[in-house]
Amino acid sequence: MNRAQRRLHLLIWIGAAAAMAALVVTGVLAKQRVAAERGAWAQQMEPR
Amino acid sequence: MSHGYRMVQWTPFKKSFDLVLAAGVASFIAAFVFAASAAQAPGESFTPIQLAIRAFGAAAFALLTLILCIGPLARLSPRFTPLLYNRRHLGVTCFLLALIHAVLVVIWYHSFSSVNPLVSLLVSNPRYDALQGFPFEALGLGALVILLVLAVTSHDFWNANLGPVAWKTIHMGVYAAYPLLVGHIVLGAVQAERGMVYAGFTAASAALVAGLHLWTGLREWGSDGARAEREEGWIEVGPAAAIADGRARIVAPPQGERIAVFRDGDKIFAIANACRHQGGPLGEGKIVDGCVVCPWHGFQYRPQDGCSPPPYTEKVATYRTRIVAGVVYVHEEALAPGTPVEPSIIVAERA
Repeated sequence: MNRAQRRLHLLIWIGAAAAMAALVVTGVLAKQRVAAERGAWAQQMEPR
Repeated sequence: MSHGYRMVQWTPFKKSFDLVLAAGVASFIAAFVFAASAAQAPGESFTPIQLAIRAFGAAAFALLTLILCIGPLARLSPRFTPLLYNRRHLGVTCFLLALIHAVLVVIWYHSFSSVNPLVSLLVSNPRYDALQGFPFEALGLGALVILLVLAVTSHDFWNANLGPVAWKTIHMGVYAAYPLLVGHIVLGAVQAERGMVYAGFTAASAALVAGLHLWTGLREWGSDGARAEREEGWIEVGPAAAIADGRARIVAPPQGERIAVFRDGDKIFAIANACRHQGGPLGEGKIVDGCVVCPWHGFQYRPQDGCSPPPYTEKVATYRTRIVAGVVYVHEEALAPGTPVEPSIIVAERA
């Protein structure tokens, strides 16, 4: 690779790393929120 | 190389490589099916086709993770360069695994739809504005289309006809495909599973790939910016005796591209470091039978004029060299590709 390609490569991977980190964090938080909502709903449905 | 093409150039190494690849993929899928079946929670029941969908999808993602690690690993250690030669076999296999995954998904989840199964895949869930229940299939389909383009154009025929720059630009699409797959898994399988196993593996894979690329990228950025000793355009390379016979030392001029300074016996030559094929680092290769051999795909260049031996036609730039008091210097001005240059001769020191 030439110098310009090496720099483009690095910039792409900085962007990709940020995008993937955001995706993983967002996905895990969404999953935890759904689990919490399901837990609360299940508690409400329990016979008293 | 540019002279012509044979459909398949099988060597014993390639055959062994493909056998190991096939065995590895089969073992991965078998292990995945076994582990997923064993880990099913009470009341949870996957059909064989659902297990196959996940197993083929996981195999494609794991293989793409491996493929993306090979480049930076080869930059860190030449031990990994043999994997580079046959990375295309891994890429095509990855696409086929992803295709099987997609076909099984369409058959299992969309073939009974009232509309075309492919249309159903894209329109049955329109919740693009919500994270919960996001139509993650679209992300996987985007990645599959990119992998298809890469698999189809992976032959040297396309490299020669599109040109190395256009070919490389197209193949950098894999850097978009990987985050799309991470999104596909995180918003799909991770949301559906009870535990955090998929989330953990996906996060670890993404961190490994991104970490290796950032590490090697920053390291090379640093070496590009390093200031070599220079005087009137002559860059100091180092003592001639410090360059191993048949090997090179790479220097980075303040402007322009890197230069590979080779030693062949008592002669010193300098050529551009980037191979004409795919920009492989010629300075990390070695001289075999009088030609510099690119460590990536074996392209050859004569060190004295930067030309590939007949009948091939590739050429790289050459550079003037000189030796003063046992120290090698190279001039930063690149000569036109294919320009013959007299070598500098190493004079043996008397004891």
